[in-house]
Amino acid sequence: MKALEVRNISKMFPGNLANDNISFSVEKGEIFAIVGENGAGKSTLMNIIYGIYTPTAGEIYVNEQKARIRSAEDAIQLHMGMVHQEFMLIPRFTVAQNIVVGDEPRKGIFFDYTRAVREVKELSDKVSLTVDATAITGDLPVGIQQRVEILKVLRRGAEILIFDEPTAVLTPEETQELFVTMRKLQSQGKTILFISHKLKEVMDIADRIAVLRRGKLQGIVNKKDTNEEELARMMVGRNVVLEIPKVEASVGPVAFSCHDLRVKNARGMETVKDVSFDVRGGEIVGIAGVQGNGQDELVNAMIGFTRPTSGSMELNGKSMRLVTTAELRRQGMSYITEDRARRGLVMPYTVRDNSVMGQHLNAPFSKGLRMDYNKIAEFAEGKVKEYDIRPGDVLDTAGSLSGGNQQKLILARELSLPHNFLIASQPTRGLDVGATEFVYRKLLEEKKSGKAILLISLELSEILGLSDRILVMFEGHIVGETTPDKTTEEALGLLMLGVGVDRKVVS
Amino acid sequence: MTIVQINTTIAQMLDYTTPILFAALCGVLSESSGVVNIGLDGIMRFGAFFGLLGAFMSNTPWVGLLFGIGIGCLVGALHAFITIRWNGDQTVSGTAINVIATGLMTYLLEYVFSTTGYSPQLQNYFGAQEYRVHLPFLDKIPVIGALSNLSFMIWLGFICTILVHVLLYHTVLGLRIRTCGENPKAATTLGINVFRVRWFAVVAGAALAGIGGAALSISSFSGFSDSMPNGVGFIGLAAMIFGKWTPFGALGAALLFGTGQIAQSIIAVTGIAPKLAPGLTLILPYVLTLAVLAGFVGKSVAPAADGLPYYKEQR
Amino acid sequence: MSESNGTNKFLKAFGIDSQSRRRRDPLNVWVPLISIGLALVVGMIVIAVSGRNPFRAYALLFGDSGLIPGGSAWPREFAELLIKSAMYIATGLAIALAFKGGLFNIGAEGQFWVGAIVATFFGYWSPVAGAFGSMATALGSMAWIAQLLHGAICIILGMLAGGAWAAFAGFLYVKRGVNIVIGTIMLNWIAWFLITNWLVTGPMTPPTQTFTSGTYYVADTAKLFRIMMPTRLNTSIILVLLAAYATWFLLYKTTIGYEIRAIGHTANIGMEAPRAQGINVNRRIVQMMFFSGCLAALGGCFFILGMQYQFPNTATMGYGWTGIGVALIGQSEPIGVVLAGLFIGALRTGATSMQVANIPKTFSNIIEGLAVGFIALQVAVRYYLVKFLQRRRAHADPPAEQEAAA
Repeated sequence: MKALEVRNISKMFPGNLANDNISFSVEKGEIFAIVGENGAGKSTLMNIIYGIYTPTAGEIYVNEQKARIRSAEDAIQLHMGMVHQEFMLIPRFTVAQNIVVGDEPRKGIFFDYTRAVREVKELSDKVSLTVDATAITGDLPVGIQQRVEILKVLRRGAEILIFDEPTAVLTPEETQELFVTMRKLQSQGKTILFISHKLKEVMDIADRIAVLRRGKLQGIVNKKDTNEEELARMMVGRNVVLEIPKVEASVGPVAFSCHDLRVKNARGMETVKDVSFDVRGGEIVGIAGVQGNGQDELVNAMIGFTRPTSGSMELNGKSMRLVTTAELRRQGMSYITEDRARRGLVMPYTVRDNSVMGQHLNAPFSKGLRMDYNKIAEFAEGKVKEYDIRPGDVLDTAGSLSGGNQQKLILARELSLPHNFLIASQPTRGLDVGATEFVYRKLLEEKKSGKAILLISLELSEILGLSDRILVMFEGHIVGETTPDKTTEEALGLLMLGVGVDRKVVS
Repeated sequence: MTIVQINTTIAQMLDYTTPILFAALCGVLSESSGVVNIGLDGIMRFGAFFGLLGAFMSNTPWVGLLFGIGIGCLVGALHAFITIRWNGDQTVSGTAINVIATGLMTYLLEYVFSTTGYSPQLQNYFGAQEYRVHLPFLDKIPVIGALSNLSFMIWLGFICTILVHVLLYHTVLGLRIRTCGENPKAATTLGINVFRVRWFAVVAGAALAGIGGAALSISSFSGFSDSMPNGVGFIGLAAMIFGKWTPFGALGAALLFGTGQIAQSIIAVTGIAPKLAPGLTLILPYVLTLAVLAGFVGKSVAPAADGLPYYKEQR
Repeated sequence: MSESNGTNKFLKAFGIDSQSRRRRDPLNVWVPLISIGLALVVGMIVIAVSGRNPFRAYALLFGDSGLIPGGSAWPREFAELLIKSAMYIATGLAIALAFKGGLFNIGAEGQFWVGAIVATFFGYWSPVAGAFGSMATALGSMAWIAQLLHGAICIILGMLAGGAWAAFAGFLYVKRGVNIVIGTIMLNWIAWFLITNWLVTGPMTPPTQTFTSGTYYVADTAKLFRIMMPTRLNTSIILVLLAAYATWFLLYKTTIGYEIRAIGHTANIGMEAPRAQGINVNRRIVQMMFFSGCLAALGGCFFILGMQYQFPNTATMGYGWTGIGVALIGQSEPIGVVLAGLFIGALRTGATSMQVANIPKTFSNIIEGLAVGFIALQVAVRYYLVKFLQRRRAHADPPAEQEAAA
């Protein structure tokens, strides 16, 4: 019997068709994986199934009955349970408390904690998922915390479990334990939806796999009938390639280099492992990789936001150890970020005021303590013309600009700072074709004038089109280094998804 | 020092402790659900006046106590309305309550009693001998003997401490309150109505602050003085923080700070260190709180979502 | 917009040019006005409910507030208005500046008193007071120079002390994560008790004075100049207007202000953008708190050197708390703070006359508190205001044009 079926599901966001006419069905007792790159539409689809979004079109059937799911509560009523990527747990509470809260065993108004513990133990035994019901959740390793989330969902009677990128936060050992758990649940008649972009794991655990790309369903395959390469090909496919002219430049001295860099993320996990590379003037080094493989943490370390746990970095020959962000910029580092709202711009500030942030202490924008807003306005007006930032009033707030124009403003600011090393992190995110071409043009100009550029992007065509050298990052390692003429999009895509990687640095 | 002297001093200390304790409990309850309430000094002022008013009109302190609870609930509802219904800034709302309380109680004092400075004195208040809780058999024992002749309010304070503790740590509602204070998003996915839970916590907490204010005018003293509560609310805030946002912690902190308040008389009675600068004992609560917050005296951890407004999912 | 070149040149000298007339959200002016309006209406209801005549009350309130010229009592009232307002504007500026930097300096009260006590000390301390006394005698008719210098020293030292007190709270926040609201509240009470229970009744009290009096009196040379005799008016209002200008200048014309405002705008999202652009956020925050404390302390100096001439035993809190209301009503803009400070000063001045109508003078606190309360509700106020405006527009435009506009 079909436990879950979606028919012609589409979801339209302003300016973005996230899900485009998707239809598939999942049999009861199946482990069904949904794979796709970032932005393929997987999370949107799951949120629709779980009632957090409403579809623009299409229907959902649960146990072959048409279902109207308008909220998470509706989904829970239909015996669906979602294990989110970000756990909904209270670190201070015990496991038992976390599992039963909202549906507590009670004695009148009193919380029957002893019964809660007992119920948790019973449930845990029944599905053979061992947890210590009285342990403090915050003290437990992440893999066990995930188990608590699973138990929470099971307790509310979930028969269909949805896992959203569950292995993103797990160690390899914990991932294996999770798979054991999933097989157990499967043998108990549960149906499992598993969203991921990690092909190795998907090939390990899933029965059938659906591939999404740019909102459309590419195809559904049985695991037995396919392999990682084919999945990767379906995921990556052939994208619209912008014609990027080849620009030659003479390669200069090393502007940036790092050796055996190790960086931890906010949760304390090491996400950059033994990374070494350098970037010379006049070249564009592109780092390709799926989001979440350490690129963000690498950039944080490079701009001085976090300290690496070990390894070293040098900017223009000088050690970057314990150097402040301000000093790094003074020494020639510029940074284009994709996080416009938090990191790129001060949104309530005007275009004028944003345009000089970072060099506002220098002449002619300020003399001593006194800011010269007239000169700053002149400068901003010049930049607005040069970069075609619309609308053209420098006294508009940055927040009122469209995403593309905001990105142009960031570029204008960063490229006008005296620099010789540029970090461009997803510089064309959210930009239309015209704006994207503009950015590419600017980057190539930078290269011609001898700047060293590190390009981090999730778009393979961008990497291939712009880079002189390409590094592939996977799970914190650099797993491949090549040049555009020696590789193809598919080959890169495979590397990015970890196919053919022996957990050894391949050179 | 005689036993009587020791016991009297301790009893006096408990008298000072009680309003601090009620204020601290208000803070504990409210902030456990994630809503900051620095207006508790103002709510105490409301409670002090209305408690007196009730006691005066009915000639018995019990009605005064009811009035204190009632006005606390009303003012708490106002704070809840601003901060929960309209996501108004919690600190600004609390400040508004403090400022209104300052002016309005003076106004009402003049309007109702046609006097300024002090209301008429009560005959029947919890501090009067007829209304105290008599346990004469404890009389002769040192230290414990202090409990032999206390105001009902002090006992109420102990009872409320236990009640708040039981509520937060042993009832279903308490578990949900704490969930809202730690992770309101998780609470919503579990089907808990964060807004309703927070309303309850804020109003119930404010009722406690109202009682605390009444404790000043109808227990520790026998009337309303225009300077009440003399910053006791802020000492209560400090006690809540120093007590690590738990009811019994608040009790311990309140006892400590209450001792500090009457340190002068202790010094006079015991003859220790007569030259100690008078201000030092008064600032003790605040210095300790800062030390705790700065991490010098162990970690004090507020509920994770404390003070953050909660927006219903915006999609 | 054609204005005479002369006016423009004059304003330009002070940094006020066309670039600085920024686009402002017009609602920002309406929100405080409506809040005050609503507060006054509620106030009328309170008076009416208690059986008094609200119109007579308000006539007395505003008539005797010093805002409305005319009548023999006006010079005195006007003086009172300005004296009070100066202190409220000072603390209001302090809190407004902190708000611009993303922090709630609720402990401005404590910084006010720190400034006051330090100003008192240097006002009477014999080495200093004696030196200036001799200077005054030596200068004869130019003795005012000595007064100028002595006063300036007391004020500067008072401000530095208040600034340090606030900067300490900023330091605790930046380095140890101590919440600014709690930190400044605690320091507030520490300052208050140390001052009122120790300094003022102990070391700073003359042995011969009675216990109820207070500290030594400051020397004549430390007092603020009197203007508009025979009223009590002193130069504090002028000084605070200069301070307001300086605050505005700091915020909108200097590099420090540029960084402070950038920090303030991004305070609830981790201040990543300023940090990524190389701004030293921690240092700026402490500096900003320092300036904030200086402003609050200036108010304290006014209290002593302009009014009391000693630190009295009878001092009560209030100036710092009022400053919060002033900053909120003034929407944290220096010009708004000045206007709000004058308004609250007017309320306080006029409130004394309301006693004739049987209304205690603390009525002005009620209005203030209500205004603050309505500002706390500003989301609600804006929501209903926008709805109201939309409905008006719907009545004004015929439907066809509305479609085109949509």
